[in-house]
Amino acid sequence: MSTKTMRTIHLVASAAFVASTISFAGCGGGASEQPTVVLKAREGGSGGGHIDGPPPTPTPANGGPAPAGGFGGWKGKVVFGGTLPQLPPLIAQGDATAKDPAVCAAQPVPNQRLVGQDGGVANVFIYLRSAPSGAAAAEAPSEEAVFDQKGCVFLPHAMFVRTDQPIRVLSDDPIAHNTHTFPKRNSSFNQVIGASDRTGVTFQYSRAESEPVSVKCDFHAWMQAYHLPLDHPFAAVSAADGSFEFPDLPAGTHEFMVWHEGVRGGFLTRAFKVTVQADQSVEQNIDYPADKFAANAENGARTIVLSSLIRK
Amino acid sequence: MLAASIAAQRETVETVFVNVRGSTVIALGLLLPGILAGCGRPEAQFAFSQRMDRLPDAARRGMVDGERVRIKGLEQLLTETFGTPNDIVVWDKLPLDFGGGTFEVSPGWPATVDESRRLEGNKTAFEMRTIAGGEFPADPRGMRIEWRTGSFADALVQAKTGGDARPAVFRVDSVDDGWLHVGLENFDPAADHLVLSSGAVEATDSFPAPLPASEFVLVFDPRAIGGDTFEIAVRRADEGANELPGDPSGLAVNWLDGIYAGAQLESKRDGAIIPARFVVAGYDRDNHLLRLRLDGFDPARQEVLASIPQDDAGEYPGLPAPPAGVEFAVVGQNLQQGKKLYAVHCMHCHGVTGDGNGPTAKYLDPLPRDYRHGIFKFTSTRSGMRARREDLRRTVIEGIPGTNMPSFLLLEDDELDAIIEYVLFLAMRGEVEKRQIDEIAGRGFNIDEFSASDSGQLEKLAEYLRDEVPEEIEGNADITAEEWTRAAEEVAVLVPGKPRTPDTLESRQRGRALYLSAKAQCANCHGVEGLGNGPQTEDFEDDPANPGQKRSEPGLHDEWGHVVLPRNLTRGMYRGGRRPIDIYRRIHAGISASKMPSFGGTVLNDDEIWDVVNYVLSVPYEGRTAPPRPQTEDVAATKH
Repeated sequence: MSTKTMRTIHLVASAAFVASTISFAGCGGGASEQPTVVLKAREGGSGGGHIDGPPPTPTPANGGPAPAGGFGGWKGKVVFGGTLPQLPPLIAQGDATAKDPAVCAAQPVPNQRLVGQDGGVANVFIYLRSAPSGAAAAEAPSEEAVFDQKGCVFLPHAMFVRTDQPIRVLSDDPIAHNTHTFPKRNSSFNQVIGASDRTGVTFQYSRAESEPVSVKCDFHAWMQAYHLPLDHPFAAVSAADGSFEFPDLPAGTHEFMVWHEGVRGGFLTRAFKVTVQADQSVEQNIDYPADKFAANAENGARTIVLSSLIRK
Repeated sequence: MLAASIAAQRETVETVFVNVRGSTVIALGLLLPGILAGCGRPEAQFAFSQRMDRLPDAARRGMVDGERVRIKGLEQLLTETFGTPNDIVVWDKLPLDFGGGTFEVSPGWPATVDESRRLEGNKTAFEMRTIAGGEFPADPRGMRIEWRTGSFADALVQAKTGGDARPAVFRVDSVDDGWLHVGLENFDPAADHLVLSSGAVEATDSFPAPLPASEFVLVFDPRAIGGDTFEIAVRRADEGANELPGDPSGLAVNWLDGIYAGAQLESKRDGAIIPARFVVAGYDRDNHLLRLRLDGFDPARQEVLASIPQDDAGEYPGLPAPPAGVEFAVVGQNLQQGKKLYAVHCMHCHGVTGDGNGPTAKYLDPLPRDYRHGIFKFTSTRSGMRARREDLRRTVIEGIPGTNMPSFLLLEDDELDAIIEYVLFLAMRGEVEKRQIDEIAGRGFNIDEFSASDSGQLEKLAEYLRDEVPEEIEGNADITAEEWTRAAEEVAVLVPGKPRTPDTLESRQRGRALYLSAKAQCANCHGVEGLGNGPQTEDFEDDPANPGQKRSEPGLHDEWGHVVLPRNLTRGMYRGGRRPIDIYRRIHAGISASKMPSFGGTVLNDDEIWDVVNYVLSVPYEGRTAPPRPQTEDVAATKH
């Protein structure tokens, strides 16, 4: 036998040895080809690890007991820290370059990212994440919430609704609009509303959302509104002057979410603390620092991708 | 002599050489797919959504104290909930047809002696042919025979010297040309005699054979194979469920009764309790023998509560097999087969996770569907609803014209079923993930609001991950299940209130008028000439990620953030199908995830929708002369 043959044998043999060693050490000889299926542990059986975590600290905000009986009220105002900027309208009156100018530019379309008067900010959502305990279970109101559009503007701009409360979508414009919601927990709604449709159509949210849902019209890209569906009545939207009122809160300390579209990320705060005394109405304002308002888009630097073929 | 020895040695060496070379090829052949399948790199995982980037690292990957995972992050929890591509978790909360069937431990196969013969000179055995009732094991060797009638019923073996009699054990030793060679196992002809109902038999030169027509049952004695595996004979307890695949190993076993139903493993070391999980370790279809393994059972570390007796030395001789009649389900066949077929046919475009990001995806336009939002475009359901299995089936069978999605018409029905079930599994996995990421980010645990250096915030996150997130995942699975279940109901199907309007010139003209009208605004996106180039395709949309800002590129964007082109109606290619009912459904219910809204129920009644359908179906055959453009429309330059 030649040396060459011997070497070949040696090489081949060691390759085989190495290969088999690796495959023994590494994997079960191709067993991973066949997927295995396991049953998910039933509730009660722990998923492993933490069997008994300590229960969450009960607070009124997450459904713990309210410290005292009785109900009180809270009145207040969302106060802007500084002068409210006057944002130019999205569409000026008579702007012939706008889409459907005969309808949409008949009146100026206001920029509602930050509106208010007398130092107060309108369209701020103030709400509890879940109903406080001690609050009587409140049925969803059976009357419809009306969601209209006129002059290519949604009316109202900011709306609190209850889950399962019918929302009637109308249009007072002689052109078609579509109402397109972008919820997180609910099914999306995307329906064309015909010209001057005063009968409209109803829809509802079946689940509570954790923050307001963006509502758009795809025909008129500037049209914007917000809906906040909750499964309890403890929510308010600040009025034109920033004022709001909660007449019936269980006595105790509550942590409110305060959300406004002008704030980056949306939340002015997630824990605005208010202590309510039984049979009293507390007055407490919410401060809206001027620097919380995200600078108007037009002022910031932007990246323009020139080719729409570039996909993310 | 020496030369011969060397020659023989060389021959041996050369034989070895050939063998070695052969086995190298085999070894490399085994090794290569091994590496590809996850041997040389980490185990295959479902890719987590890019939306995870919104979450702080501690929320994604959990919190660790040295070696120990103190708090599990969302990624760990999701992997526990759904498993990995090679280790799929079946969660009965999800409305999926996981596949499989119900079995019971078989009490045996009844049969009758047809013919029998003595074996001359053999004092412990005889041979017989049988008439079997029903399915009989192809190879009954080693199985026990329990006599029901005939002279061997209640046969006993007793020592010639007297003493207690014991039941005689008959077993099939071998099979030859239809003759079962049956031996008496616990019988020593020198020391014992056989006691039959007719009296004692002194084995002389050969053994008596059973009388024809004697009834018996062929029984498989469960046998332990190692400490964690046993083999049992089974029979189907249900009818109509899909047959187990050729190799069902790896499928989950769900005990419906018997000692293993609800059994748990408790670790001797740290007391942790985990459910006892059995998997199929092998299946001998011809002989109805199923091998079951207790997954992750390490006798040194764990024990099965109240079901495995230890011997005196504290050792486990093997798992006791459940007695005849105990029922169990073998679960997950559709997912297992679906995964294998998906890997062959779908994965290179749609990706391991169903994220539309397979290796081929980047060469495709439009991009493959990303299932993880739970949204499929071409459905027969009402506006805003999920797809039905029939819809996915249609898409898989017919493909999607105008895209790279081909037809898989040549797959078998059960293969299509398995693929669709696996795709739905991926869709639901992704949907639960997406909902849970939204949930966590919505709680303020997102990169904008959360600071890991704030110990108060970190502690809150830890509490939230530990106490609430597992429950929230359950809740999101409930929501996901609800959506899919709703779409599967019969009332979810969008059925026209009226039959199609005859395709007349008048109908097309009415349809065309509606198409161009301010009422329906079809031309706004699809263009006056139906080229899919309406003015909306050149508009800048608001950027949902940056409220108040416009997107950096013009055009309509879909659910996934990609530019979506309105259909060019002149080409006669309709992605959701070209039947009039398909076009009707696209108009009535809109297209989920795209910007195509729902026109039914408000703007357009059934008659009007059919008119538009008739017009749209005629567009490819129109003369290509552009109609006059309305003054108010800012129609962008025609592009192709």
